[in-house]
Amino acid sequence: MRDFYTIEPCATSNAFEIKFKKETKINLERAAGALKALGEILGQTTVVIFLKSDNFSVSIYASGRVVMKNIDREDASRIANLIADALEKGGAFF
Amino acid sequence: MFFENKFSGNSRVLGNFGQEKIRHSTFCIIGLGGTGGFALESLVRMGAERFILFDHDRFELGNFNRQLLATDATLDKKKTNVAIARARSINEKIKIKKSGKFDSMKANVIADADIVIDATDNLATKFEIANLCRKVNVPYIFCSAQGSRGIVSVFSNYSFEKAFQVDKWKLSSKSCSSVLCPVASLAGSLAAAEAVNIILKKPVVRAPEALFFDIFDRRLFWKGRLG
Repeated sequence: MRDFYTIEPCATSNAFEIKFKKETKINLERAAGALKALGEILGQTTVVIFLKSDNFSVSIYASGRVVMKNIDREDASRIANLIADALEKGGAFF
Repeated sequence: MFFENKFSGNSRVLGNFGQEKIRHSTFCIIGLGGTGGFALESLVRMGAERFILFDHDRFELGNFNRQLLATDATLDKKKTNVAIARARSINEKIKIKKSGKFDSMKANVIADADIVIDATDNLATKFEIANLCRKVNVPYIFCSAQGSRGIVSVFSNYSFEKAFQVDKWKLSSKSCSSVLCPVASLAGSLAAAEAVNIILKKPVVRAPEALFFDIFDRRLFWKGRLG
């Protein structure tokens, strides 16, 4: 796991939130481009992107919140890494 | 002037004295999601004007199935800010004594309230809030909604540990199922009704007794014992 975020279980079951250690906002235009390789973007508004792959779904909010759903703890860390990496490489953080 | 125009329907049921008592009481709502959102809405429309509101979260897509305040316009916004704006859109005189993220160091803030409605969604937090309320002698309204079922009960002196027979060290801070909108709405509205009953010194369902309901059960509502 990279060191600029942590993963925390959400109140609802089978969901985890990626929490960035520094206050981070996400440029959703860039995030959409960066995340295309991970799954299908089912919806995008000015505040959220909803992405779905075979194994998980993820909501990425402009405020910097990233919530992964339908996922177990073992997969959460690997997928969080993929998402964080893609967002970072795609220059989506600001 | 506007208050009387907007809420005159309440006075016809409660009388002016009852309405003024509600108006000048301070209601603390912890958790502004499913049940808390409906509790706030009911209290504001009952003419309550003084609130202490806590929630650490923002609205997300998963809230839409049951949370009154979750809309496309409020997505990703802080729940406390949305709740305050909603309350003030109904009554511009709403006073917020304190809002933000709740932590257990805020016993003094709770002591400023006449009633606490606990609309959080996990037992560990509820345990903490119930004990704080007991310490500062503020009535605590337990409300819980899970799936198709809900529970509401007023705690004044009765111990939360005893009611739920819980060991606080074994409590999970994770809730485990989702809630249907009518269930969140009923739990929140009943909690608000009990809050008003306390203020007006009317009978309430007091722990260890609780009001149970299940929207899929033919009885719908029944009174039972916790623990």
